Amino acid sequence: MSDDNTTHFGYQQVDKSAKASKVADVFHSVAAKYDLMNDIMSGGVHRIWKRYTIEMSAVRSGHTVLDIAGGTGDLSYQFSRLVGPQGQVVLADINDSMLAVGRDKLTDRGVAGNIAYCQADAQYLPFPDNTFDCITIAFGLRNVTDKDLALAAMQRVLKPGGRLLVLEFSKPKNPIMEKLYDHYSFKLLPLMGKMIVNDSESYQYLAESIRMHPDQETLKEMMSQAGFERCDYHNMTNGVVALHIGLKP
Amino acid sequence: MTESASPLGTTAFTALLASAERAINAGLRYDPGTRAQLHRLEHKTLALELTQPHCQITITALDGRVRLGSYVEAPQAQVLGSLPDALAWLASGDSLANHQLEVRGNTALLLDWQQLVGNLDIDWEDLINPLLGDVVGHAVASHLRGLWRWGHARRHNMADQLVEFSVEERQWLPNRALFNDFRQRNQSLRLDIDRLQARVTRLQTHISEASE
Repeated sequence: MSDDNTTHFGYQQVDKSAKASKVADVFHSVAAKYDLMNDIMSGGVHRIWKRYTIEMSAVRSGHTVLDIAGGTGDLSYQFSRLVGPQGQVVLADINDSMLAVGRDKLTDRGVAGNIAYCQADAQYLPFPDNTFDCITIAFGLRNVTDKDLALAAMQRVLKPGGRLLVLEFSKPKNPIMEKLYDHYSFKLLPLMGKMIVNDSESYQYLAESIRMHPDQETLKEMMSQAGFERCDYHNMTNGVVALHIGLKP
Repeated sequence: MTESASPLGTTAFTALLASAERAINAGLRYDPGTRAQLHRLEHKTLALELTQPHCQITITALDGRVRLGSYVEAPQAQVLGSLPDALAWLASGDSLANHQLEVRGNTALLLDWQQLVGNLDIDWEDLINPLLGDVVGHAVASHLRGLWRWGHARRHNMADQLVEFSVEERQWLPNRALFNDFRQRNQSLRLDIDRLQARVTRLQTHISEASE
């Protein structure tokens, strides 16, 4: 962020009020083939990253879980099984196209009764204070205009002792891996986007937004600043992705 | 930064657990008896804290399936020890006292899991017949069933047979009575040497005092 009124949208500087609609355009464009693209782009490894996130969430029967930027509902599906009929999962996404795809997918898989859907902006969560035992945001925080505001909102709606998990692309730890990853992100990814969803710009934005996202230590510090305690992170796939965890005191 | 859950790295270890979980649940599809027993253990977690290799594996029953993981906040039972010891104990049906394992928490849950593994009875026909047909499938399934039972029986008395073979047949190792006799003699010799050492030290002290 260069000053108070602008923020980054990939490598571009845009007005803060414009970022949300630009991000929305990206996700409207890719929503229908989002799962397919995720599988192809990550070679299916995104399922492993999400699986580990679910393990570390320590969610159990009866818990209330908020899955922010839940998109097509990969995490919500697993949480719904874990919390059981006594628990509650809220799948939230700012983008109605993504939310519709997620809702249809979960309904088709027989998930009902303990799940609710909510179109919500992560910066202004429409829930009372101290509502959730666990909040996850997987591959969503980098698209949020004001990350500090979003982290504060999450802190507010978590119950004391509740756990926030942020799964997000991060900075690879190995320089060789970083070079390979750069090449993949900026050359292959937009090409694949062009071939599969006929939209290279959205995947160019994806690569750029990953580079603009705070690295592991910075995000950990931001979580501490937002009021989380015992903040820590777990690197996965050599730091390509990191899972940050913080507890509400 | 928290270190990886295993020496393999978080992603590889999680992928390995996911594959093992898929294989176990694929096998359980052909064992309805065991699958039915899983419901008794629903949402209860057994954690294996392994020392060799250093990692944690959690086993939970969820929706009639086995779920493997690497982290759980509050397991109902914990087993600490090496992976071979833990697997040998789970598969053998032996008492925990016969294995180098430390146990914490609900021991009844440990026994439930052990019993579940011990009672595995896969319906091989159900698995093979759709692929090979009823006649060939039954023949292959009979052999597999025999192999499974043989393996199960061997697993139970493998240790006993190995001891008998090494001690009685090949006489590579002394029997227990000989070994105990040797140990007692060794112990007596050690005590004698200690006493002798004490006397030599005392004598040296006397000599040095006398010379002064």
